[in-house]
Amino acid sequence: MPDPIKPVRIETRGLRAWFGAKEALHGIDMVFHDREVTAIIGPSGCGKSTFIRCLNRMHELVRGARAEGQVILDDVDVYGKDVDPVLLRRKVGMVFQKPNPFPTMSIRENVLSGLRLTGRLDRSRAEEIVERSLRGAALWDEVKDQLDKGGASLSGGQQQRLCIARSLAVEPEVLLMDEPASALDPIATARIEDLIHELKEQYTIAIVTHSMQQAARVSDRTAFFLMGDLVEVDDTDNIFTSPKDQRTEDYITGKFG
Amino acid sequence: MNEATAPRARTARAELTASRAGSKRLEKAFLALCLVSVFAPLALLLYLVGETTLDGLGRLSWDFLTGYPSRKAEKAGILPALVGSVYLITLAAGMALPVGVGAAIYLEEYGGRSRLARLIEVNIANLAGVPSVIYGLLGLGVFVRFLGLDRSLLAGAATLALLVLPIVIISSREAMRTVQDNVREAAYGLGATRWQVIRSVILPQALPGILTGAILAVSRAMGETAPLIVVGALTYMTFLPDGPMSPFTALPIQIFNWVSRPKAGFDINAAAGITVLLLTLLAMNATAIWIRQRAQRRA
Repeated sequence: MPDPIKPVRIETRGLRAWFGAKEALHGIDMVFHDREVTAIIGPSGCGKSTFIRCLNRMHELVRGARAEGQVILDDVDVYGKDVDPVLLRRKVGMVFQKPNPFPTMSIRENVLSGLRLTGRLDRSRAEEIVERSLRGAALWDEVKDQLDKGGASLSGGQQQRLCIARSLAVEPEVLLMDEPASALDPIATARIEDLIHELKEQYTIAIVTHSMQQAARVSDRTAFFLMGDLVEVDDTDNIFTSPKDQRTEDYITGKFG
Repeated sequence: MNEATAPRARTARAELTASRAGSKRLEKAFLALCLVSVFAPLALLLYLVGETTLDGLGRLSWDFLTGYPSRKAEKAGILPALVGSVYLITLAAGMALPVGVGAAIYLEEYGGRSRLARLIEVNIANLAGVPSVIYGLLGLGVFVRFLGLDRSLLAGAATLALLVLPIVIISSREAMRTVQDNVREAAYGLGATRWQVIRSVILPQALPGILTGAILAVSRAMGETAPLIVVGALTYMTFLPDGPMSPFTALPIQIFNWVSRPKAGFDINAAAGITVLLLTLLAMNATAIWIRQRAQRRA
């Protein structure tokens, strides 16, 4: 039995994005529900990463890149003139494809880096935040005795969970994940997927993935992108059992991609 | 082995065991060439340093280090030049490092690909190749005359700072460029501002590279003679500089002065002076390397 429909947390309206003169997204209208996992699938170059990078305005950091349209988060258009992208990114966190802990910082410092970078760290709460974030990322038990070791000394899967802990420490409400497991082995991937299940109790999650199995395993809803267009978005079960669009069916049955 | 696979095995044996003597010889010759390129200059350098040190060793003493110039070779000391050089380098590094790193930050993180940024870039690369005596003339015109600093330590140090600025800028930019984009993105993704990203993520990671540039810059400044002569360093100084506005001399100038004297004995002083110069340089570089190692250990 499907869950009752949850309220909309993010809505994009006519979202378009460019790299220089090349248009990468041709006007996307889509919603993300609160405390659900929405997976975005599609072949390479379909614009799925660009799409979620527009949600916290990371896209515009790329030289020559720009975006147009609306992204409504809790009734506010994040592309509005008075919205500071820096403050937006504290509310909408991001986990990247390649684990990217800060190499000059220890595990503890990595977790606290978001707060420390932005000058918001309350020292008396530091230990508590480190433990809560690492527990949240299912990494605490493995690293609690070596918090002062370099973040880069961990295995790839641990590094990725450290990056998730780092994102959690700034207490975002939305978590964007750009192929978070594509650089990891199957065991580390399974851990990340379990973690996503736990995280959606608290966070609204958007996850870009290359793997359709992963989308089927972790997400409540799935969107299929193709060449910069949103082809179809629906409950994950529906997408994988009875897609409405022929192109979606061709993709999930492996006819192309 | 059955009959069907026998012919294939034969060709495989032939293919895998064919003589490669020709290419092996070439490889060995190339290796030899590389070794010669490493060791020939190194041997030459060692000979030079060794010869000089041996020549000067007899004169190298506490009296020599703490003495003042004299008309008599065996009584002459190097203290004013040594103090002058240390002052000069400290002041020059103090000016060139912040300005150079600042310029590098602008060009690398803020400048973008604008026409202006590219113009600046090309000019900095060119400036690195300008003969040092030209910098001396510039220093004479700008610092000594126009800004009225006179023939002071400050004017000399500012000239040297200008001279090494391109080195600092270029090496700092290289160092910042090695910081991976995904680490930058991580910081932006956490809600850091551009300045916070630069200060807490990029600079710490670039520090070892920046210090390498600082070592190169200091070494270059330490050995420069021509611009200091143009700016008006003294060649015979019997007192110590007492502040940034004081007249000054420096080790290379003292050495040059001794070398050019016909009287016997001064050549030994020059050799001892060179040894002091090299040791000072070594000490300063060792400090920078120590800081760099500490920075890298964290990484």
